[in-house]
This record gives sequence, C-alpha cells and structure tokens, in this order.
Amino acid sequence: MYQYDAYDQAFIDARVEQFRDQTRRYLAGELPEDEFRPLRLQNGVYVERHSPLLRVGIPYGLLNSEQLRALARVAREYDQGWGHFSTRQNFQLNWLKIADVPDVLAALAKVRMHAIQTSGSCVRSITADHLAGIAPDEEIDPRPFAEILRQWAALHPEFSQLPRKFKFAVTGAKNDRAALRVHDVGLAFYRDEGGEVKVRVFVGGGLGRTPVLALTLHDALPWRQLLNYCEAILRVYNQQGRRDNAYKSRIKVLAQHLGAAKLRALVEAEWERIEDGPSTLTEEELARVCACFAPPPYEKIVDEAPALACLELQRAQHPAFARWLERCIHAHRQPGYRAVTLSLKRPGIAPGNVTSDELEAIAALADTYSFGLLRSTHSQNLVLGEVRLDALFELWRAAEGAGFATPNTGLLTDLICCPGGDLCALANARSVPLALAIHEKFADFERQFDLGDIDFNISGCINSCSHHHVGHIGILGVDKEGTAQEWYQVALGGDQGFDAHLAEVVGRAAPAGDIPDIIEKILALYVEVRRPGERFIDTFRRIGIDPFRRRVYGEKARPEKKYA
Amino acid sequence: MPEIVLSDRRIATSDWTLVRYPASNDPQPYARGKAGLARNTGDEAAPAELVATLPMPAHGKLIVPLAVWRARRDALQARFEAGELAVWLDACETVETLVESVHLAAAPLVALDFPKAGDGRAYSSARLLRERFAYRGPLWAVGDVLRDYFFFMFRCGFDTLLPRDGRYTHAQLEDAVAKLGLFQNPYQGAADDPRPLWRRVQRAPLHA
Repeated sequence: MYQYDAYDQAFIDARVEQFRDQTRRYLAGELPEDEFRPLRLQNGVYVERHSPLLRVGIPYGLLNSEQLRALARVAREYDQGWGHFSTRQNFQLNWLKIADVPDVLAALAKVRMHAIQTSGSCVRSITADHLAGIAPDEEIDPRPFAEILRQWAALHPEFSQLPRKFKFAVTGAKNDRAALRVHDVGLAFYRDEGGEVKVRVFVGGGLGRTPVLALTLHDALPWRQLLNYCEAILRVYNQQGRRDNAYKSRIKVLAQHLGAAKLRALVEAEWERIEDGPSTLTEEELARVCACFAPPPYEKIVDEAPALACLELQRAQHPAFARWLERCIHAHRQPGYRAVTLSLKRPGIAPGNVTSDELEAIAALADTYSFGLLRSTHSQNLVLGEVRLDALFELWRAAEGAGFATPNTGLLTDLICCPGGDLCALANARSVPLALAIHEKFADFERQFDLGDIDFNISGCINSCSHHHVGHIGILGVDKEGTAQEWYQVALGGDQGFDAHLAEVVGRAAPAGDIPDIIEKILALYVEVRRPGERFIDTFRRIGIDPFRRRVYGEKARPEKKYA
Repeated sequence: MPEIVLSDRRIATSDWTLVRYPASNDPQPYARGKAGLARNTGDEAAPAELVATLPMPAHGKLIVPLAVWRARRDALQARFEAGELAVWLDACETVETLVESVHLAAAPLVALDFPKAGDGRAYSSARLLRERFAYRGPLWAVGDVLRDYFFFMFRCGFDTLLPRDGRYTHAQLEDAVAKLGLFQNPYQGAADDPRPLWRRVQRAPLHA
C-alpha cells in the first residue's frame, strides 16, 4: 500500500492541529455552529441523531492490520467499542464526543489514517475496485492513480467549497466493481492498442433523489493528463454548478442541463489552457507512487494442482467449507493465491458493523494469512487480498471461529444497508431492522444458493447511501406522514457495472412488516420462470417488471413512476 | 477603519469603502455576468434600476460593483483614473467580463466577493485572474471572508483579505495569521506556486 513520506505525515499532523484549534474555538463559543459545520464536515464529523459521527477515510478501500487495530483501539477508548464499514469503503464511529475528535484523529494520524474530506462539499474520499491490483481481469492497477488523486484533492484550495459533494471512483479492470457510472466522476484505466495507458472518464452519475447514469466525457484520456483534466472538470463545476438548491447542485444536474456535448466543450476549453501545465503527470512521479503498490513477497507457486486436490478433499468432507469456497473466494492474478471475503453480513448483526474485539481478530487473520493487508468493499465487507491457496482451509476454520465465514458473498443476505433511522438524522425509516428481518427469512443457505447472485440494497431514505437504485432488488424507506409504521418502496432491475441500469419501482410503498412477503413473492416468480442457469437479474431483463408487479399487487397493479 | 490581512502576514487598515447593494438583497447575489452562467447557477439578474441608482459616497476610495462600473462608466471614469475607484466581482460574474470592461493594468485593485460562506466560486476566479490573465495587481477577497479559509484564499492568488467589518477582533486576526504557516508543503499547485509537491521537492518513502 502507499507509503507515507515525511511530507504526507506532516500534512495529516498539521490537519489534526488545525482541527484541534477549530474545535477549541467552537467549544469556546468563538466559532459559531454554522461556521463550524462545514469545517467539521470536511473532517468527517457529522452530528447525527444521537451524537457526533466520525467517518474515517479508507482511501480506495486499502488498509493494513496496524490501521485496523488503531480503529479498534479508538472505537474502544472513545466510542462504544464498535464501528461500521460504510458503502463508500470508509469506517464510521457513531458515539463520539466532539471534544474527543481531535484526539481520535491524532491517534489515527499515527497510523497514517485521516478523515480529511470524508464529508462536506468537496472532493470526497476516493473509492476503487476492491480487487484492484490482484484481479485477473485487471489491465491497469488504479491504486497509484487513486493515491495521486487523493493527494491532489487533499485541501485543494480552489475546490474546497464546491456546490456539493464530489465523488470519484476508479477501476482498471474489464469488469466494473466500483459502480463508476453512479459517481460524479468515474475513471476507467485501460491500455490502448499501442500499449499506452488511457482513461475513460465518466461524468455526472449519481443516485439520490435524481438517479442518473454518468455520461462519457472522454474516451481515451492520456494518463499524464489525469490531474489537468480533473482540474478542468472541477473548475467548470465549481463555477457553473448550481448553488441555490442543494437538491440540484450535484454535477449530474449540470451535466443533464448542458448535455454531454456542451459539458465536454466547456471542460475541453478549460483543459486546453492547462494541458501543458505543471500538474501534468510524469513517469517519475507515477513510478514513485507505483513502487508503493508493489506486490507483497509472494511465494512462487508454479503448480496449483496439489493444493487444489487437497481442497477437493476438504470440500468433500466439510459442506460448510464447500459453500464458503463457492461464495467467498475470488480469483487472483498470482498463481497459488486467492482473495477471500470476510463477510460482515451476519444474522442478527447490522450489515457492516464490527466490534473492536472483532476488528482485532480480523487484524490477526490478515497478519497470518494476507501479509497484514486488507480491503474494505463497497458492499460493506472486508477482503483478505493475498491468501495462499493451501491456507484456505485453515483460514476458513479461523474465520468461522471469529464469525466472519458466513458464505453469502453476492447472495441475497449480503445486503448492502445504510445505518438508517437508528442512527442517521436524514433517514425516513430504519433500514437495519428490515435488513435483519430479510436475513432471517432467507437465512437457509440451500435456498440462498438456489436463488444465486442477487444484489440487495436497502436505503433508509432517498439519499440512497445503499445505492438501492442499482440493486437487483432495491428497497427505499419513504416518508408517509401520519403513520406510526415505517414504509418502504421496492424496486427491481438495477445493476451496476459499465452496463449499469436504474431500478424500476414495483408499486406503491408497503409497511415494514409486509416487505419480507413481497420479496418472497418476487423470488417465487423468479424461481418459477427462470431458465436453467439464469440469474435473477437476467430473468428480470428478459421478462420485465410487469409480471413482478402483477405477482405482488395482483391484476389491479398500476404502473408507477419509473425510478425510485 | 476595517482591518485587512495581507499575504505577507501583516495586518493593516483599509481606507477603501466597499459599496454594496442594499442588505435586503443580500446574500442572494445578482448575476450580471453571462446569462448562461447565471441560469446554471440559479442566480438572479440584478435589476438595471438598482444598478443605475445605487448611491455612492462622493469622496474617498470606493470599490463598486462591476455592473455599476459598466453601466455608469462615464460618471466614474475620472475617479478611476485618479486611482480612487476599483470594482468588485460577484461570485456569478466571470473573470472574462471583468477583463473586457476594466483596464486591469490601471486598476488600483480588483476585489472578488464571497457572497456567503461555502460559496467557493471566487477561488476559481482568483486563480484565473492570476494564472490565465496574468493580473499582478492587488487582489482582494471581500464578503464572507472567514479566517479558516485565509490559507485557501492566499493560495488562490488573493493578497488582501477584508473580513466583514467587526467580524474579528485584532487579536483573532493575529491568531489566524500566526496559524497560516501550518501547512508548509501543500500537495497541489495553485496560484501561489503552480507546481505540485512532487515537482517542488524530492519525495521518497518514509518506511523504505
């Protein structure tokens, strides 16, 4: 992972000092609440339903065991001994005191972690393919570029007060696992026919109230132009993005308003003026950053056959291990190695939540099995990226003992779920109890395996932190005034990836208690009509939403507006 | 006289008077820049009548709205030539409009307005003025100029910061100035130094 030098360290240390001073002035009454608010937000501090929340950045989802232990420690010392992995690969502490935040940040700075720009109207913490650098379908490791972007965006003076938040996602793989097209900017790195590294630049995607898929602004940006081009995009947005209405201030609204051609022309006019500027990347700088992402010292394993044969035996003896192998193991470009998902989707526990003790247990697993390296995923799981094939059985035993071997990666109970109304001040409805109810109803593994790949996303409100618009099944908490119950809307057919789709609403909202049965009806129809080997989403594409509508609401089902 | 903070970390007093539209129309800024830009940003156009009738002190150094200068140039020309009149730009006005309508080399200063905290448009305008239009004269930040953003303002090319009158005590400004050196080596290039960190220094990993 990226190695800090003295400049990086001095920078985050200075940031802690700055925030300590700002907090002191706030608590002394010198800094009014409305002025402190944007300052604390850009340091990851929200004030939530019950108490302040600190969102610690995990840049592009990469962290090591030392950092995980530091998170465990601060969660225990300053919070209630647990934390939450968010849908943007970050880590949230929910029960801090404002006065403690500077100390928490100082403790985290010692392990090269920070909360800079994890919130607020600025370039946010960058997300990436959680298998970056190890996936066999990857052409270009996007992590060095993500790190270069992180540094460029950190306290960028010109873009420190944008109209609204601005989210980057990056990948260098043939398959998009980072939901590029629902980000403000999505960057897809690839190698062109001549062997040059190019970037496909998507702009103006986003979910929330107005879900929009990003349009392609540049098809083949030379990598050296990365910062110049991003600077041009941000400058156009900073000057022309709406500031009169928070709901219309994301770049997606500007992009829709102008259209691809006009937006491209504006960005290119800006870019032309700085194309040869000093932010043009150099081979040397890229090489310096790339060196940090050199692979760990793998053992050279030429022949996987013996280890695979051994796995076959273990698989035959242990059905639970067989299930785990099927769902939680991912291909690796290094022969003899695999990536392993440690599921944070456990029955009875809110998706993404972990205690300090568990974080330490996971850190120990990372040290023993994965060179101390981990990844957080946007589906709120953790991944050990560098596990030897012949250590999988031992790891499974250990992970099962620690409670992280639920074999549900990519299955229905791998629910993506925001903190919802239990903690979040924005939410219309709680999302966690519903997630737990669905988990319980569909806990049977035989059934889950039969249903196969399903992306299931639950958002407690239209801010869509759980990306329900791009879930195969997406659930949205809605506001129904004057009712004691919490209400939810079900949508189907969303999909992420380069060929992303937005989900369509099935029908009118239903109270919490009815949702599991509605899901049951939807899945029953799928099982009845699917063709051999056809995934839920493929069946949906083939038959469309109407049969599902009729199944759930009967023949009286009326068409709804298209998107949730 | 209001205090100003200078980029060489001195605190001085200003003998300029900032002429603003009536408070009832603040903080919603007026758009007198390009119509398209104002449409995008949701700003409202300034009523021509207000621009034509905005009262102005008869004496002293004035910083007036760009639109007023454009509409009433004949009446203001002599004061401009005497070095006693400058203009300020609304956040929704473009630097191009400024360059078209003011002879910058003769301008005693240029001011850019931060209409409210959180509106960062003037940062871009400042950089463009410095880096694209090579403006080297005094560049003032006016409006909601808050101490926690002084560092960003100086980096973007402002050299004079004018917080709202009475917003900060002298001691608070001194404290703010003392903290300006906190970030010695910012990562990215800006108007103060266009080179990113990796072009300014030799970088090597800490734990090689």
